[in-house]
Amino acid sequence: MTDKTDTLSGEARLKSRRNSLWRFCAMGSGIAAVVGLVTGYAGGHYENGTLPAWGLFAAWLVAVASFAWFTWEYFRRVDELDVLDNLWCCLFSLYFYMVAFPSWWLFHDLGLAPEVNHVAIYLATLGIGAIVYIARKLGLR
Amino acid sequence: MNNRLKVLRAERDWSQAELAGRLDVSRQAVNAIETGKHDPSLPLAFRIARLFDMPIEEIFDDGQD
Repeated sequence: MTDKTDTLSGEARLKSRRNSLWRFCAMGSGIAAVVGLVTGYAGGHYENGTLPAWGLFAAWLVAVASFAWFTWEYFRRVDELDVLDNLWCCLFSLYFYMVAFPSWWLFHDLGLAPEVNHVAIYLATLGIGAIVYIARKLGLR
Repeated sequence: MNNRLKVLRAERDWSQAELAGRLDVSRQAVNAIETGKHDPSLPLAFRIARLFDMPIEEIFDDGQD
């Protein structure tokens, strides 16, 4: 069977591919929002004692599996340049984390800094990744 | 690595989007290759060569000759 996109022009194929990727990302964001609400809801019920621990673990497992599935599908749909952008973003994030956490821990140990704030390091790690990804998307390669 | 992608595209009067669609990559990828900011993978280089019906070495030049 002939793929119907075979008869399209390159520009039409690109548009179709781009729209498909945006739809997929929108769907992923929607699922992430629902999963976030469900896990938050489950967490609340667990704290109230109305949900057993296995229920919370099940919700967490669904969230992780959904994220893994989305990531796998995303990288099947994007081209090699986007994969490279993601690799660079993750490399910078990892290097930042590898330096930031032990440095902060060392300075705290020497009495020169407050206790390590893991949430701050986590958010900064994500922020570094986002900056690198956006910079590469803006053509700073 | 230098390449003749922009010239070959212009000869066919294709936009970057047209070429990107034919290669199944993003327009940004075509732009990055044309401006020398990205060296394509071997599979993509072969797709480019097939599309223009030319040997890879006539499109890409690593400056070693």
